[in-house]
Amino acid sequence: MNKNTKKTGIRLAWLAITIIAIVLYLISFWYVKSEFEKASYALNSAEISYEQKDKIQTTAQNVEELEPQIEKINSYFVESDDVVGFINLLEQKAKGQGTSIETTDVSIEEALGDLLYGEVLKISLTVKGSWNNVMQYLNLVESLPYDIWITNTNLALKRNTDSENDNLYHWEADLTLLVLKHN
Amino acid sequence: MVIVLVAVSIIMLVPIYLLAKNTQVLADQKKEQLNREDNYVDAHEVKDTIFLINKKARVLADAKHTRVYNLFSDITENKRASISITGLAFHIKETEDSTFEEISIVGNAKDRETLLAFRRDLEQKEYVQEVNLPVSNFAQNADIDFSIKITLRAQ
Repeated sequence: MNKNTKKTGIRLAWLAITIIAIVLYLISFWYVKSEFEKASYALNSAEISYEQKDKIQTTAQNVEELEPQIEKINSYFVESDDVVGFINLLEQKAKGQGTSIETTDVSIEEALGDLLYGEVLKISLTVKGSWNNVMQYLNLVESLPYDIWITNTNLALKRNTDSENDNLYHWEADLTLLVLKHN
Repeated sequence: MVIVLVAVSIIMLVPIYLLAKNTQVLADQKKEQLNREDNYVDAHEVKDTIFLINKKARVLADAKHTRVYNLFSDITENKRASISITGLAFHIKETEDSTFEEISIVGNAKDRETLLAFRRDLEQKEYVQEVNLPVSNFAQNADIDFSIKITLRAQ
C-alpha cells in the first residue's frame, strides 16, 4: 500500500514537473516569438526609411536638374525687392523708344483672389510720342520677359501745346498694366 | 523523457532569441544613422520646393492675356484710307457674373458708306464678338465723327 502511494506520489511529481516544463517552454516560445516580431518590425521600418531616403534623393536630384526651368518660371515674376528696378526698366524702354513717360501710380493689387502664388503689381503710365513710337512701346512692354498684361489703355491724338515742336499733334497713351510679383 | 525534450527545445530557442535581438539592434542603429543624416529636413525642403514651383507654374499656365498691341495694329493697319482714327481704348470690364474686354474707337469717316464698310470689316474679325455703332453716328452724310465700341470674344 505504502509502495503504491509512494509510486503515485512520484508520478504526480513528474507530471507536475512536466507540466511546469511545458509551460516554461510555451512562455519562452511566446517571448522569443514576440522578440522576433519586434526585430522584423524594426528591420522593415529601417528598410522603409532607406527607401524613402532613396526616393527623396532621387526627387531632390530631379529638382536640381530642373533648376534652369525653375529659374525660367521665377523670371516671369518681378522680384519683391526689385519693384523700383522694374519701374526704371519701363521708363528706360520708353525713353529708348523716343517717347516721354510719366509713372502716375504704383500699387499692389489684392483683388485677384484666385491667385495661387505671388502678388500683382499695378502700374499706371502716361506715354507721349508719335504713333509709331507709342505703338512700339506698347509692343515692347507686352514683350517683356515677365507675366505682364495691360488692363486699360487710352490712346488719343492730342494737339501739341509746345510751340517749339514741329509736329502739330502727338499721341498720348494712358496705360494700366499688371505684372506678377514674388511675395 | 518529455522534460528532456522540453529542455532541449528551450535551449534551441536561445540562438533564435539572440538572432532576433541582434537584428533588432542592427535595425535600430540603421535608423539612427539615417536620422543623423538630416534626411527628414531635406524631405521637407524638397516637398516645399516642388509645391511652390507647382503653384507658380499653375499661375503662369492660367494667364491668358490679350495683347493690346496686336489688336490696335490689326485695326489701324487694315482700315480703309478714308477712315482716320483719333482715339483707341482697351478696357477689361467686370460685371457681376462675367469679365469681358472692350475696345473703343473714335475717329472720322469720309461718308456713311465708308463707316458702314468699316463696321462690316470689324465684324468679320475673328476676335470680335459684337460691334456697337450707335445710329446717331449716321446723322451726318459726310465727314462723320464716329465712336464705335467692340466687345471681344472670350478667349
